[in-house]
Amino acid sequence: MFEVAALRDKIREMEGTKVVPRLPVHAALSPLIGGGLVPGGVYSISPSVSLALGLAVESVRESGWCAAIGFPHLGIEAVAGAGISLERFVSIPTPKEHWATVVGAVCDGFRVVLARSPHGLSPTSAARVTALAHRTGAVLVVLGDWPGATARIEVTSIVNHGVGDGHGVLSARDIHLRSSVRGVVKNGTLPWPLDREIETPVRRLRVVS
Amino acid sequence: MTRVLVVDIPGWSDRFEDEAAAVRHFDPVIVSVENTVPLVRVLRPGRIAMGARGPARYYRGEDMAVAALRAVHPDARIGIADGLFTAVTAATRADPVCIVPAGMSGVFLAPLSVDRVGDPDLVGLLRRLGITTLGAFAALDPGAVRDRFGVAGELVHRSAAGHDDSPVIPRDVPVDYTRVIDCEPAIVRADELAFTVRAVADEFIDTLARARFVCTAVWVTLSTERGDEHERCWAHPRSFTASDVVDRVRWQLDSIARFTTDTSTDGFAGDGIVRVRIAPDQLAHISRYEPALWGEPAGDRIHSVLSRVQSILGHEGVLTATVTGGRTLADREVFSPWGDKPVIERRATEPWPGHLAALLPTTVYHDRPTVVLRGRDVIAPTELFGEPPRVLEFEGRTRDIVEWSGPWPIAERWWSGGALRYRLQVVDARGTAWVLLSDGDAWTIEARYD
Repeated sequence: MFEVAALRDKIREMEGTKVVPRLPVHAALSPLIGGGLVPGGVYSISPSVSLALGLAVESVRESGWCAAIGFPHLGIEAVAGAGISLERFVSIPTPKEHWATVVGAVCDGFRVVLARSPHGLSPTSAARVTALAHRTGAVLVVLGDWPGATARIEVTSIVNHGVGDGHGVLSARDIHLRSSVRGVVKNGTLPWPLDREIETPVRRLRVVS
Repeated sequence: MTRVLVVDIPGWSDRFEDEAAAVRHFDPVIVSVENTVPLVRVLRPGRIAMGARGPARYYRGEDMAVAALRAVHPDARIGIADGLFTAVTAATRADPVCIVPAGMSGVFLAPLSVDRVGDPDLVGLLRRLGITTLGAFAALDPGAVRDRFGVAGELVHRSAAGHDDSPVIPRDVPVDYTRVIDCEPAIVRADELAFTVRAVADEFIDTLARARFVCTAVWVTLSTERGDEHERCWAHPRSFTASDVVDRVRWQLDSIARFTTDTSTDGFAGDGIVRVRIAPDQLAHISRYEPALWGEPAGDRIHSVLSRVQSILGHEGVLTATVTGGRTLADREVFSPWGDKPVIERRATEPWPGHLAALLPTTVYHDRPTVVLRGRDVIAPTELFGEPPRVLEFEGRTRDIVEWSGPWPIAERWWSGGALRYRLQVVDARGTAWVLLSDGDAWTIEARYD
């Protein structure tokens, strides 16, 4: 059932028609993943929470629920600050050995599911979770490797602004990314905080006295 | 039409720290009113409703009944009218007594603001339609109101027109809904307990439903062979189904088991459960409750999914989060299990000098693991380095520090002798930024930008 659907998806995408409308994504990430998030798609990314939030925020800004699975130390102020409403956000910090079951369950009803991939997940479990996401139309963002992901995004380097040798305070970050969608590789930069214009050069404070 | 009397003590809840205290302190007031007029219903702390006909007959007249109540509570406002909605409205406008004659509810309510219906969404909609008074709302065609606003709107519309005929259900619920299950022999395993409780939970919820009640909070008491009693009140964001009740019983058993150190036997440390008691804490009338269910199917689905996850991971397995006040990043986060109300002690809006306001980290450690900071030698936070930090050791891995800033002192109860703490930001060679906090003579990780 899933294979047929996936095949049909692929054929239509190759024909250049969209199967389902894509969900909006942060402007900096949009060109990297073909214009938006595919409902039911699995995105395999580097273990960067900033990147995960950047992928999620636009699709749940107005409505829709977002879950974070396997983040026992998630910075809630950063989640809210990124623009994700805490009214429609839940954290399942330690799913333990029930990871696949929990992720599968949450895909049914949530628009975006952020999940830190556990060590040693069997390929069978992974395939089952992929199929579930596909069937329910949830976007699954996995921090870690994932077989057969819709897209992969890795962090290549990070530039931190504001911190120097003992002075200043961290004020902004440029997260440089490389994405790979079906063999097409692209580079991009995600600003943090997300509402920052990346082109604007960040002024660095100088000690004047 | 039912005559209803409402006693309202203005500003009751403001006198107490939290809702629980307001409820607790209101109990003696209820008893004192009950000594004057039996069969009262508590609408909320500070506000009681009762049927007016009985007291009026007993005290020979509504005004005499009012006088008797005012003798007990001189600071109370009292309203009498047809139906609960009008009586509550009368009480809140009373100075200090307001009696709306029988059949005059519509006239009394008509000039009042439509805000009184209480549902902010509905009020917003009505205001946009140019309807600002209860009278204008009441004048709408009931059929049209039902089509446009559903069952909830229809109920509110009836109230606004002064046709609210919901009876006052006294707080002494005449039937005892408490269920007690005796287990013989004692039960030690959670699945066995769930199985035993299941049938009773079904019957418990069914009985409530037949009496037109839904249960929104339930007390579960587990008694063990040793004679310990573990009692806990479980709240529900909507209302309990039978399987929700079974889940709560199972989670409670799990949570007791977690605190029991003797794990020599399977399940529950050999101290079996001999009795389970299930009692409703809060009941809501179905007709009052249905409106809340109307129009939010997505919420239902989310709730059933998260309840399923809670039945796998336990009650604390699924958390909702709130941002509150505090100086350290961890202090500013409050997590509460799905279904529970968050307990907020500090407000986010108050000024919190010393909190990291600039760029918010994506990872915040509540347990603050210890790290080692090195220059040429180990750098203690007390030294406030003469030489720059070069290496961070955390979880057995070393990271080269390429940039750093601080340390900045955090003013925190220094006046009461608390140690002065320092915060430091460092960036490692891979671009990950860390926020370190001094704790005594060690550096700990407060947060990370990842």
